[in-house]
Amino acid sequence: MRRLYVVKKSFLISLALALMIGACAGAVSAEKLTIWSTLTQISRAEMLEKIANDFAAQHPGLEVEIAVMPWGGAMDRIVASILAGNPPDVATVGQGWPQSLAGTGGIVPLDDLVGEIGEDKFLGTSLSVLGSLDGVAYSVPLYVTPHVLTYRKSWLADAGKDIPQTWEDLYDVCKAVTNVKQGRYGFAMPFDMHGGKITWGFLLANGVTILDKNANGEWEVNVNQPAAVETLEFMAKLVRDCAPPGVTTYTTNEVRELVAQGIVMTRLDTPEFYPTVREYQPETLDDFGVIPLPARKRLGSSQGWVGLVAFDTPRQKLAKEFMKFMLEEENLVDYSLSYPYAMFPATQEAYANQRYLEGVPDELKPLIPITPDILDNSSGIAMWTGDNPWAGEIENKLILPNALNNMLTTGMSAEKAIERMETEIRRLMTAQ
Amino acid sequence: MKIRLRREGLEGLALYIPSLLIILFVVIYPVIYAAYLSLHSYHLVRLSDVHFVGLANYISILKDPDFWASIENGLVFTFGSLIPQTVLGLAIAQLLNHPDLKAKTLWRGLIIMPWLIPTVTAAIIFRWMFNDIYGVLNYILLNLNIIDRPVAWLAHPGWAMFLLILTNIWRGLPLMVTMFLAALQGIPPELHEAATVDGASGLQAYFRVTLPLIAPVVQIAAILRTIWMFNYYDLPWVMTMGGPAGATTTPPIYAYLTTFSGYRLGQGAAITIVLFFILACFSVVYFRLQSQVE
Repeated sequence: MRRLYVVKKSFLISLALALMIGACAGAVSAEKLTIWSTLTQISRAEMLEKIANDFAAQHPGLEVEIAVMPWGGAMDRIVASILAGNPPDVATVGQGWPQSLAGTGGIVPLDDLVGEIGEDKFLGTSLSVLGSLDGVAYSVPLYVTPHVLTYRKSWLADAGKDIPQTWEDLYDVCKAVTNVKQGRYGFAMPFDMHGGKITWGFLLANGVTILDKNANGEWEVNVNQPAAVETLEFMAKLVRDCAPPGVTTYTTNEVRELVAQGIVMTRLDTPEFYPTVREYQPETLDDFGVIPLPARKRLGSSQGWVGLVAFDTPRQKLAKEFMKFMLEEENLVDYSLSYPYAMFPATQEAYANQRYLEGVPDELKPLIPITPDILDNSSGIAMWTGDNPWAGEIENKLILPNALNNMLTTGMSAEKAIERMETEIRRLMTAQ
Repeated sequence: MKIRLRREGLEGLALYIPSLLIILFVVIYPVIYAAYLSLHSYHLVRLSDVHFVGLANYISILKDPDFWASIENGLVFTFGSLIPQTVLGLAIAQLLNHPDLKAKTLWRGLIIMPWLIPTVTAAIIFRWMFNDIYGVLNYILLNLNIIDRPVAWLAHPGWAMFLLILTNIWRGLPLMVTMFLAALQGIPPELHEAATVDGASGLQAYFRVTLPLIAPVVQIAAILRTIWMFNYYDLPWVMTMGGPAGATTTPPIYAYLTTFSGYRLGQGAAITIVLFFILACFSVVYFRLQSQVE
């Protein structure tokens, strides 16, 4: 009898303790903000965690969970999470993603947040085009990156050439430094998804916008024009005469490594090759220089861009608060400086912040004054004339680099490649 | 007696139910749902506009020259890999089964090695071997003065497909060897002894005794490999990403690019249904052969 009493008593005490612990745990983890980040480098992942912890410290009882994942497959994962009804609260997104995700109804408009921050606070078209669809903001930019051409001062000196000012100069310089026997090449570009951005940069600099709105406000493909043919012919000539033979199989990382290792001189991309140079040949850092892509008909370029989106979850108010916190001047400066080669702060005040300007690595300092001008004259693929829902798909389907690839690989004419590009874009605009 | 039989029947049915449910949800439901999706405009980024489109998705795909190019690439890749795998597989299995072969376990262990390497790793290794700048193939050929400048093996449509097939042969050969070896070991030695007594040469014994006896296994292995390779995604994707200029875009890569570049699930489902019927033809052959074996 006594034994039964003890058992009963211990059971009741255990039950009470379990309930208390459960209640406490429930109170502590009443809210959990989930962030999916595609920015995998350790330095910026750690800084994001620090900023998230600072945000959590301001919200007692809030837990912030960050899941870091690579870019490849991240969009599929986000779309799947929306369909499954368990998306994160906040995620980082690439170019064209906000427009695609807006159509799923899974992300929420951010006009209220933009109103609080100030629409005119963002650099270039980073908010007005890259983060919007039909004039509604669905993403706030976290960072932007100018695309620039790299060159090596010693290679130019050896070839007796100056920094290129025109497309003709660019070809001459790249051709002059190319020496197959020595394993030196003037130019390279990737033919993966990033290759679309590079091709777009050249097209835009020659006045080709790919998509335009007609008088009725409807989108039309306008790529089939002499300037587009001229651009592809120029790029094909540049690649054929100045790039390594296997260039059409290269990825972005491979091109970056070839530049850093002194095999290729010029690429059009972000200044993110500097960390790779530091890794392979730190003694050559001073030998590198960067310039904007020379104008053909106009100044134009591709650009790097990453934004934040908030999902339709019960914590969307908190998600927006976090995004606002992240974009506060000092936090954005901290975050940008954690990986400065790829991330230029997207707000004007952070860009002009003294701590940011002093903290930027020396090799990037010449870029600081010219970056706003580059960004003002660049946009995401096919988004120069405004936001549209097809930009992401044009990039994902490799429509632009494939046109060039067809010319280089199968001998297709530029006219035919442009016709094919036009057909493919038109097909995806009308496909079911 | 009748009640007992009925009870046993119910118990038997109960034992079947879990498997039936799994097949229903994992195989039948997805096929029916894919067929349903293929008749709709189901664009994930326009979810508010899902509507019935009849055969429009099928017409769009069948009119797309890239689809037919991918089918052609798929057939070249599949049969270009299958024939050498079968011929080499038979030859190596015969060698490994030779009674005078020393260190059989070692050789059998070595031959299985490529199968132990994950496909993605194998694809990356071969991709690097054929790289124009760092690749070991160019390094050797340049040093032997066979070529005077690096060759971009994977940037040339013909070479890219050939090297993809070569990698696939290397990767898939161990499975064929293992299956053929198992079949060879099942042949009673008395049959070969009888053939020798009857004066048959080695070749005659092989073609008149060995090959007919292992033919059912060879046929089934070949059909199964055909289905697998026609559906093979990871090796071509990692090694060439379907390039250059679509030269190695096989049907699974075409399906992936069409579906996931713009999240057009209706079109994607239509492609999978078309591929389903193509593979169903191979499956019919497989089941016929299997029933002959049984």
